[in-house]
Amino acid sequence: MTADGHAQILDRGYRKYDGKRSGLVGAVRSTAWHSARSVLGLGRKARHKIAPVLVIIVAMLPAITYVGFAALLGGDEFVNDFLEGVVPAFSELPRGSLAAIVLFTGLVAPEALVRDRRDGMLSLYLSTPLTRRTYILAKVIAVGGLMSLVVLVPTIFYLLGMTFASLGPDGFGDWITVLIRIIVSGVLASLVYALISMAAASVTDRRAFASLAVILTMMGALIVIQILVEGADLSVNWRLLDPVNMPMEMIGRIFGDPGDYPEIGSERIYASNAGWAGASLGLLWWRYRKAGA
Amino acid sequence: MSESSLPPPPGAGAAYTAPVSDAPPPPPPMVSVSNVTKAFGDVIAVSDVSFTVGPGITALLGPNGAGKSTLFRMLCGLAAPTSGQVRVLGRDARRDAEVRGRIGLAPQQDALFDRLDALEFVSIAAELHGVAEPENEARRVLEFVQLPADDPKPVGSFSKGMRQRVKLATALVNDPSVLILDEPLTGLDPVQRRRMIELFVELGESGKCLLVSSHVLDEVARLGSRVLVIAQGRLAAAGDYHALRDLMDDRPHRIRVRVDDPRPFAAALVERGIVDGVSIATDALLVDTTDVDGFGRSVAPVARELGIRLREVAPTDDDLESVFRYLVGGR
Repeated sequence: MTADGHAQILDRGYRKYDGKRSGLVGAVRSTAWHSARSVLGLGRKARHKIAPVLVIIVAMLPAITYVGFAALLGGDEFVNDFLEGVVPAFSELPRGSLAAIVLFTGLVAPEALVRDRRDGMLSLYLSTPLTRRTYILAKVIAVGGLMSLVVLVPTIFYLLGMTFASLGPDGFGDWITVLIRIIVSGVLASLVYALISMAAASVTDRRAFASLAVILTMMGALIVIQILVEGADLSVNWRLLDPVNMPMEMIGRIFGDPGDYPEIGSERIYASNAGWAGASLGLLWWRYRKAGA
Repeated sequence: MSESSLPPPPGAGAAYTAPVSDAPPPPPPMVSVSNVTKAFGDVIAVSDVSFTVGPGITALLGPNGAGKSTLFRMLCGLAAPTSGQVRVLGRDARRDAEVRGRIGLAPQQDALFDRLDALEFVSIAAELHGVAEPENEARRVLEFVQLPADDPKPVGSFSKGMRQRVKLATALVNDPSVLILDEPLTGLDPVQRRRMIELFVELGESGKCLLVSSHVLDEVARLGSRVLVIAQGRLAAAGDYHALRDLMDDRPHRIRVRVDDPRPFAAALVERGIVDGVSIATDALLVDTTDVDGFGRSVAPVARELGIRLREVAPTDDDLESVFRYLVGGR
């Protein structure tokens, strides 16, 4: 109704869109963001948030515990010296979250990938400016970003907490160096875990099976290699095929630490991670080369 | 595509080309398919198909498994042709992200995130297309398809008709020039179908190119008369289906004739060789003839001569279903 009381028929016909289009970058950003939201259960009922939030909390526990101890007990020079000998190095902290990391890999990639295939959404994605390559790129960004919540974020929290408790690196230069190492190693390890879990999740269109495939790939390889090296006394180089520990080992090497397997050269550790990432990307591409077609 | 042009002979796989006429030149094709073949291993899904389509609605008809959806996927750039060339707005949708942004796709399957509400779902599609204000645009198209944008119910709880409208809104949210609608009328009740067809007609009249696949022939006939008929992966015919019916010389036309006294009139028609066959229903004759013009010239004089009142002469098989049955029936 208009102000003077006369009725008015509004045009309900089709109207053109003349605004801007952000193109491929916008499509990649949007896909990554909505995938991350879906995994974390954002915009959904509370029960969808429980599992991811729980795993993230478990991954944060070691960092929270050590920072809590440092905050409560620290301050005194003697106690600080004691604590420095007890708390883990920045390169070692992610190992404390390894179980949570493996659990998270089984949660993230299946939710990010399988739902699109199962709901037939790939054709919608691929009829936008996205191609199969850029769709995979968006998913890698999403899964990698989420993995960093359990691989990278606890260590950054640990660095900040220890710094406030006067147990951080000495001087601004050292602090920045440690921060850069944490970020670089955390991003690379997150990427490797993301690619391995995405490749494993790509083999099935059932989410539960995909989670199982991811966990089995990670844990199965770890157990088999443990048996080969420890039980059958094979070369320690077999550990290069271990998808769970090699990213952790890479984090140590980036910090300049000898790691858990000092007999394996750093270049082999990096090559192992590159190999896992490359092979996973290859499988992922092979699985998606005709998907949605 | 021009309505006045002659289609190729059925099953020839020949190109459908615009005719030379005095009429103003047709607009450049928005979709061009040239000698396209798509094989999945030993199975040929689409075989040497060629056609061009301009603005407005064109119906793609064919039985299940004829290759319609495969053709649509190639148009959208989702699948590559094994041979031949597919162009949308003059470009290859597989290689050109910009042209993909000018295509709207409503796939046959229910490709929806069931847990989202309509506004969220269409907004995501808008974001994927890089639209500046996704929610506003989602509201715009939801209003157009007559779905309440603020309905908090998830699309998973929607009726089939509402889900079809969500898919149409999703396909429209980037304001595409070319709309590919795969079986959009499936599962709709008659009222929903009529409303959906009205939307398609409005979009076609706005200058968009709509390719609509369907096997609901009555409804396709209401979309307009331009059809592409696909059977066993080959282009069986293209053009105006009324013109296609006229080309079916080897099949008699069936005409209903209502007269006061059917029996003597039927006998006279057969005796004079005006018709190929005739059957008498309760109050009408059903006449089969391959010479419609000759029948038209003779029927009134015969009635006058016999003193029989002629009440109605109407074709009964000048419809899309008849054309469709003819084109795909023998395959």
